Amino acid sequence: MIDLVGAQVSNAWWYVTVAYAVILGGMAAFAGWLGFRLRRAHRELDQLS
Amino acid sequence: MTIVRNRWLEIATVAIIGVSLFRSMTVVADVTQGDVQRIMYVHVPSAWLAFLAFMVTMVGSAAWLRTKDQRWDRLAASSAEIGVVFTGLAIVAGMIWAKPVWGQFWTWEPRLVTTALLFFIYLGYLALRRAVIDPVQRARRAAIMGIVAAVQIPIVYYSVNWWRSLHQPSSARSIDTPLRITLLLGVVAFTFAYAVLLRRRLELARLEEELDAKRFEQSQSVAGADITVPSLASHPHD
Repeated sequence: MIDLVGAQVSNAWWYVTVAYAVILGGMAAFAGWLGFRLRRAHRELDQLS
Repeated sequence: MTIVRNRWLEIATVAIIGVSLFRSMTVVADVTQGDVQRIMYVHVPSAWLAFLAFMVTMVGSAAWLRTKDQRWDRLAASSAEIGVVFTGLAIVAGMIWAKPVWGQFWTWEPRLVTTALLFFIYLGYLALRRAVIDPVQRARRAAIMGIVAAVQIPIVYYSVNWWRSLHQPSSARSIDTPLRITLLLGVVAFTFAYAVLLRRRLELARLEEELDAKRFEQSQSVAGADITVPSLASHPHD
């Protein structure tokens, strides 16, 4: 049973790659979105003052 | 040198994430699941980060109710946003892991359902914050929800013990040392990432508050008190 589970996942690295891309990509995208919102807030503040 | 001094937390975070990634790719594979188990090194830290973020939201909420200091409200809101993002990421990574191990992306079992609930509860928290315009009212309502919603955190954590679950219980103590060290390294790396993201999100929250105050100030000076506040006493038909 134990070996069976391991043996069944022949394309394990594909799943690993996708999962890491989702997590790290998501983290980077969120950081980028924060950066965008920060720049926009700074710009709007400059325009108002 | 100035960049290093100003950005030491970001640099340290990128470095530790890099070390954690290298370690998670090179550490010995799990006997039971093989290489696919390596997903654990990002899935569990994401879930940990979400828990941490929501606990900080609860602390910020309680502190706001006690002090009425807007800084606590900003902390609660900023942390909740990060928590929602990482709950979503943990769910997606979990689904990718579930497919080869369980044979399907999703199953209606306690850990998955309670985590999805956690996600939607804090999405509701963020929606509530957008629905209320008055900052004090918003902070009060959000603080109450921020405390009540935290009840869901132990429910998610203990769901694998309380109910019959397909999801494995906490394995931090039971796994072999090389795997445990790799997992802990991932947790530390994601905690650093949380600190970086929280710092930026807090700055954004402060700027947004400043913007709201400036806009309010400008609208007052344009409209004037006589136009915005109707006076029944001076109505011509009375």
